[in-house]
Amino acid sequence: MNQHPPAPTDELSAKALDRIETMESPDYVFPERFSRASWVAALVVIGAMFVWLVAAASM
Amino acid sequence: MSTTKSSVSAAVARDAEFGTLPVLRSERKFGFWDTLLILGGYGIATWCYTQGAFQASLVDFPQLLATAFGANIFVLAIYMLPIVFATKYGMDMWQWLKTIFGAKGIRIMVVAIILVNFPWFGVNAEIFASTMLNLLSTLGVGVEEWMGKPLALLCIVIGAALALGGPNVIKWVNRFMVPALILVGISIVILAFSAVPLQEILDYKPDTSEYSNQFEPYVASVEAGFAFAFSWCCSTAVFPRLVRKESQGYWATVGAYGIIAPFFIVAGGVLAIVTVITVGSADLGLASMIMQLAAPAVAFITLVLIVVANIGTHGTGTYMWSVVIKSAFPRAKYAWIVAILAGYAALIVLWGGILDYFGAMISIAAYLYGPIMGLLFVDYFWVRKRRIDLRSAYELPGHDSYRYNRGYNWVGFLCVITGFLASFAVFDAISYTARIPLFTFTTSSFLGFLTSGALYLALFALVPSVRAYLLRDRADITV
Repeated sequence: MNQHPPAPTDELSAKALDRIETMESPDYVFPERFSRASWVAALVVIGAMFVWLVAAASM
Repeated sequence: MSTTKSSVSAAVARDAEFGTLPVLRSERKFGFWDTLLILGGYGIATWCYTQGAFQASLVDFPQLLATAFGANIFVLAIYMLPIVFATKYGMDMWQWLKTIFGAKGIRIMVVAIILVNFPWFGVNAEIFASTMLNLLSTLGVGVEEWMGKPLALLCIVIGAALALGGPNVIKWVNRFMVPALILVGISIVILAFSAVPLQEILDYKPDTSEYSNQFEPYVASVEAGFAFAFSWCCSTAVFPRLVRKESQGYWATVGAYGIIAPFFIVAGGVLAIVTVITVGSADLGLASMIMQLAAPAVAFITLVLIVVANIGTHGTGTYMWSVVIKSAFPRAKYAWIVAILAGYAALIVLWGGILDYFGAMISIAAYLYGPIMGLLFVDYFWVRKRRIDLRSAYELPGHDSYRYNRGYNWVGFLCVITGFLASFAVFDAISYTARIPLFTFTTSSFLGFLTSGALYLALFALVPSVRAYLLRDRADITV
């Protein structure tokens, strides 16, 4: 890892770095993560749609 | 004039910058319902009815429900799972895809994706043209078939002009376009389900004599549903990066594109079914079907709304894709990008075959989308374990984990090409028939998703040099 990378040379990169450093600060709180309930619901939905598609083939 | 041009360019550059930079949590403005309604409004463009009519030519009503709702929800619920990274980091897909294709390779993918996606706007222009012909005929203006192409080009020109107006114009366009689309949808739903008794709709059977067995047309309709669902994929991170919770972005997108849009696909399909029942053929186009079935005043108003919606769709789509291109090619002039996209749509219109080859269009595009999303799925969950080196993703000086070979990740390209070829090998998108029986079990686009993902995972897990090649970023992961 480069311990002392050169500073960004363009405005966009400087803005990106500023935001990245904000996210890296200990005070930054990331958005609420995908919950276990959502995971379960997603898998149930995927499974149910798969069953529906297979069942409908015989209709 | 030059002040206006420079202010539009500045506004577009701001949008491109906004579309590129990470959105911090404090800047998130959207929740579940906002996202659901905005994406739902975008998703119900008039091409939904063309999709529905196409699928209804393959299956009956119960199977239309399954291959519209079931297929769309199934694919979206799977490929949206990795997109939660957009909510965590506030970044769009193009940054993450650099891990798969390389910092420069992503530009090739942007161009390839636009090449296969923008034909949707050719469809949009064709619907505009046929609607205008019907409207002019209603008003007593003598119309001839040759007028269709100039009218379609008119839609493209007006849409491009709106896009050149920049984000403020597009915001106003959407204030008319989305309500127009909703009213068109309501009109078509009422028309479709009230024109004939429901039992006749339930008894409808399409003519699928060109298929060799009863399953093939059904799987072809599943493929059409999968391909439609995949066609959203490269824009599906846009709103999740603006929402406050990962689950909101996920469920709102699945809901908008998996439930709202398919509702109108089914409406379009039922409209086609009803047209077959009443006049013996559905090869009439959306506007003609409405003219056949609706009372004159209702038909006229619906067609006017479709015209408004089509122009808005073209303007909005041109603007959005122009911003994507500007993000990947920051030095490109916005006006030139708009002009090139308009020229591409014009070529499609001048060719004149996009509606005849509608199925081919969506599935050939899915030859590419499926593999890309398969790679993203594997990269997110197994290769990167849900974390990315942000400094390399934004190509900050001194951080080159995603440069690979001069900016190109050859492993990613190998896998996407393999997935593309797998899709092509099982399915003839032109005739919309299977090449080999495997298609009946996998479809084409989902096979591409599985093949690319499986190859990428196998290379990563089993070939140490590939693992080392892909994982140059781990020491620089910070969040």
